[in-house]
Amino acid sequence: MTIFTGVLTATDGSGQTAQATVSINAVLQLSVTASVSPASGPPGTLYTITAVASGGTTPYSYSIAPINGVQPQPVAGQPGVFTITI
Amino acid sequence: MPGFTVTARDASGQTATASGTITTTTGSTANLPNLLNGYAARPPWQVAGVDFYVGVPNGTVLKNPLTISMTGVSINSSTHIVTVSGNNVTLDGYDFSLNGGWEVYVTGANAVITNSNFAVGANRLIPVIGANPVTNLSLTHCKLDGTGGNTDNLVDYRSSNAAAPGLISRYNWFRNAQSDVHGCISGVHMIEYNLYQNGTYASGAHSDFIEFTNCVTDGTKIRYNTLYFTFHSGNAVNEGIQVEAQLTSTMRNVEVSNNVIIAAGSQSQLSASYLIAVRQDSGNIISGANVHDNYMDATAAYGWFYAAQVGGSNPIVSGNKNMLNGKTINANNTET
Repeated sequence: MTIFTGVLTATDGSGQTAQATVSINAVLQLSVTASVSPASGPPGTLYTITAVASGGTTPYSYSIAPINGVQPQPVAGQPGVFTITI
Repeated sequence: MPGFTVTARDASGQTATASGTITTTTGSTANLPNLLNGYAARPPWQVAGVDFYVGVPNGTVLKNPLTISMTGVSINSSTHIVTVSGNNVTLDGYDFSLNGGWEVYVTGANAVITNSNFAVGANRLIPVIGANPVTNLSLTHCKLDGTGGNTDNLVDYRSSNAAAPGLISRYNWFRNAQSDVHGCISGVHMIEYNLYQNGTYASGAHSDFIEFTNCVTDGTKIRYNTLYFTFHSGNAVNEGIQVEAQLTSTMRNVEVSNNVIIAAGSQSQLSASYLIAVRQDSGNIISGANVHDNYMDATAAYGWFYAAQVGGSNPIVSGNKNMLNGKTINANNTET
């Protein structure tokens, strides 16, 4: 979430002014990036897939679809991190 | 290249997804890279032996089994049997084809046999046996060749422990079997990413690639394997994956999915009987078998499913494809 602040100024015919402050709470669009380490390996390799979300409203949660029919496992205490052996 | 898709969800319910791929490498050319050429429909996943190599990785320097010296393992140089009685033993990188062929006989828990070469030879030994009280026997990245003679099986798993992890067979290359490749009794077995090639190799051989007998299991999975039958003159034809509740078996929730099964030849030169058999014999139980997304070519077989059915109670059948035309194969061997 990003807070945008604006100042409104009113001026009357005598030149008096008054100001008011307004805040806009903008919820940015959620996006996510994902990476895998290692990028390649022989069969039997343990891969770690890491997803990082940004924007939106925290907190984030993550899920991952099965790979070749096998469900990657979440790493405890590390949201967005999954492991799988392929 | 397997793909992955991650979904993030924020507190307001917004979602976003990101995708990527994982490149599997073996350093070896796939075993049968052209096997799926020309088919109207091919599987969307990486196919074992076609899109990546299975078996002993090239460049592996194999050791003579006579050099094995570790706690929990004994070798008999006369009988050519390696006995693994200890737990958590790993045999990595051995040439068990030497000296007429060796057998690895495992009774310990959590044994791993990997990166090793087996061949049935003059000794006529079953290459790998798991025997009570074995549990959780892993066989990975191995090559097992039955050219040299007929044995009961290439891999025989004889446990009575139904609830424990059983045979874990992944990324192996089985070829020229003159008998069943896997003969499994009880346990929760994972048979994945293997290549089965050229079974029923010799006259009179009986080689269902994967067979269960006296089996009590719940949750066994047979997935992502490639089974390739070829014609052999004068030989009987056998089944690909046989999940048959027979000889006092209780088999629940067995998954047979995403396998590629090809019977090459013609109707005048059959190479297989039925590609998948899910059956319940009298007095036995099979329930909840889930047979889905298998890609098959029954050109030289009696048919896809034995007796035009997937047997037992509450079977689930979906998404099985005829690679010749892309149509869905139903349990009664019709197409839609």
